[in-house]
Amino acid sequence: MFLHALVMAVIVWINNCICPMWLKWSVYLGSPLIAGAINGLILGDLQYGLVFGATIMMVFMGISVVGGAVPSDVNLAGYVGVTVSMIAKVDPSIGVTVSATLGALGAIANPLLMTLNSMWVHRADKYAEEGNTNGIFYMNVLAPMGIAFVLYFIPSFIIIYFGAPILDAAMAVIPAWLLTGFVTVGKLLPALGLALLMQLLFKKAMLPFFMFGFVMSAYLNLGIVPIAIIGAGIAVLHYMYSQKGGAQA
Amino acid sequence: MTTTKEVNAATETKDSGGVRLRKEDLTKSWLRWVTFGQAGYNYERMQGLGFCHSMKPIIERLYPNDKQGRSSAMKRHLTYYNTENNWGAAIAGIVASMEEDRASDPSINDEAINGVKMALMGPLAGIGDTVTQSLVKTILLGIGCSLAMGGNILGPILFLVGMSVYTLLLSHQAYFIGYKSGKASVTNILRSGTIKNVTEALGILGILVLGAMVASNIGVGTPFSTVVGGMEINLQSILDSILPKMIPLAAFLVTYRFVVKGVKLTVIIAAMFIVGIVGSLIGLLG
Amino acid sequence: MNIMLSRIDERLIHGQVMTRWISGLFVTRIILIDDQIAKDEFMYEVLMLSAPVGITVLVLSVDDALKLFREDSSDEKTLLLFKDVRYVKALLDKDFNVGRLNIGNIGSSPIRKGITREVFMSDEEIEIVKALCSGGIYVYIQKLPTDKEVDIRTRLQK
Repeated sequence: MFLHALVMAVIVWINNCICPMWLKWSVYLGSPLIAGAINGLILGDLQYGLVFGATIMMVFMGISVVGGAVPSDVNLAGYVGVTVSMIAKVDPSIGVTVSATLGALGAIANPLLMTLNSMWVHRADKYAEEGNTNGIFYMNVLAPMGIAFVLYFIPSFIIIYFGAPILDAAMAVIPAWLLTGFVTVGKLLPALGLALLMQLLFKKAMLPFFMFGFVMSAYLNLGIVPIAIIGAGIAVLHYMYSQKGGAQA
Repeated sequence: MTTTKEVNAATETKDSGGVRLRKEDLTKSWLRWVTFGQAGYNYERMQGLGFCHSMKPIIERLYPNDKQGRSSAMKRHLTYYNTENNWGAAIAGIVASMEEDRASDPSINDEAINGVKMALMGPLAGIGDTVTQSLVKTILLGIGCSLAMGGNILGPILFLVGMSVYTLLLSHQAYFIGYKSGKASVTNILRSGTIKNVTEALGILGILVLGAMVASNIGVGTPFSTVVGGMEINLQSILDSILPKMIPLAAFLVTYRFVVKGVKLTVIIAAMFIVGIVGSLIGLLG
Repeated sequence: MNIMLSRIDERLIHGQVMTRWISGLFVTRIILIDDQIAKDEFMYEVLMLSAPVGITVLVLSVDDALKLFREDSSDEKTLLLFKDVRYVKALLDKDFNVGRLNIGNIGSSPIRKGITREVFMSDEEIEIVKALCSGGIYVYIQKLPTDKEVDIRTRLQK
């Protein structure tokens, strides 16, 4: 458990400073999904982890970073929230509550990190005066790691290490009918993430395609991969026609 | 696609009499941007530290023994800078090219270089945020989650690999096209309407996948069944015969209505808890 | 002229922040008023090319803008956009009072100091804003339509 908490806390910490940007889009914004899989492997119940992570991810799916502002810290919600919940073996719906709470907490930590990191800019200005190019490496990469360690590693570790047993104990007093209720809630929650996404993607002219996707799944029972492939084909066709006013490829 | 040959040709046709950037400098610069561009993200200069970091190999190649040159270059690039990470790589490439020219032609002043950065960081952020987050991430996440919900570990793996490939490929292309063709490359692409068509095509794929997910990832149904006049009536079968996945669709539409109306997310989640628990208790939902 | 909002935003017309304002206020036209940008061919072209779909974008100098205000009789919902406070003052000096001025985002620079997390101003710019306030313009800071309005005078006391 100590090691488990350690690993997760390290991931959260790295995600907030030295995580390469090409990884960030997946391990940061996709953290519930990936956290579910990692925890599933660590705890030895991969199926539980995959379903758990995916359910939580569905809720956070519609969240995007607008001009540097993080509305809800998906990174914290994923790696800490999912870990705590999975160790206590709860239903995904409880996991969402835990994650949503942590996400809100993280949204406080992030502005703090960005404010404190300004210190390094002034040091970097001094390095620039001296023409010291190595200084920029220290200020851009190494220095922010320290702040992120305090803001992210320490709280994450504490929450996981002490929080999981507390959650576990709390779950033990919950009656069976409530637990079944939670399962139903867990099935409803993805609707929220999808609704948030719809907000981003909605264009009246595209509604037929929404229905097309719905029908392919609901009536034809196609899996997501064939649906995506068909969808990609349609998208390519659309692109070809709109580029040249007629397919000439 | 910009090939190694083309990049080398570009660096060779630059005017003689100046230090030229090598492919390895450009690659190092691109790599630093796409890895550490946001490592020191802060409110005062946003990605300023990251951008300067990505210019480090360029500066070191162009001013190896010129402390003054290095110093003014660093100062030039520590300014306020914020754009989307993947598409914005084009700016880094363009700036690298301009810095290379400037090393032999001082008439390219700070204002010229800064002007290009300022002009382009906005539009590329606009395009990038939409394509990367609303489109590519949605599509990959949709497929990943659906696979994971079915218990397939390829889900998270696909998402991880897919996003990484997109990021690395796109930023690499953007950087080197920016280096080779300068700021004209951006205006050309904007002018050709390609971006608009690509965005639309991706939007179609995105909303199609969304529709499929509404049907497959909202698992609510109704376990309600009763006996009327000796006949067993199963609500789920009745609903299914009218429209399969009707309840998930209804849940989605209702939630969407609330989201658009601006209801706070915490309120919606709380409402879902109530509806779910009560619905499950009375045997209507499950 | 149906002016829905006058705003200072260094990011100009791009990105998610501006999209929120455009859809929140149902704006169909954006007029960027800036003598320098109106003369800069490259920026002008980039701005015109990256205008959001369905939005008319005009980039005008102060004088051209004043001419438009006099001649324009449409009630198209318009957003007046500025990058630099000095052009709001230039309008005021020529008797065009924008009434309310929203400051969304001004980035940091060596001569600017922090007013809020996302708004930095130089001493010169602070003086200009103070002149705008005494000229009867309500100047406030508000990044997104869902944020609270913050009267800039409360931040300039420091």
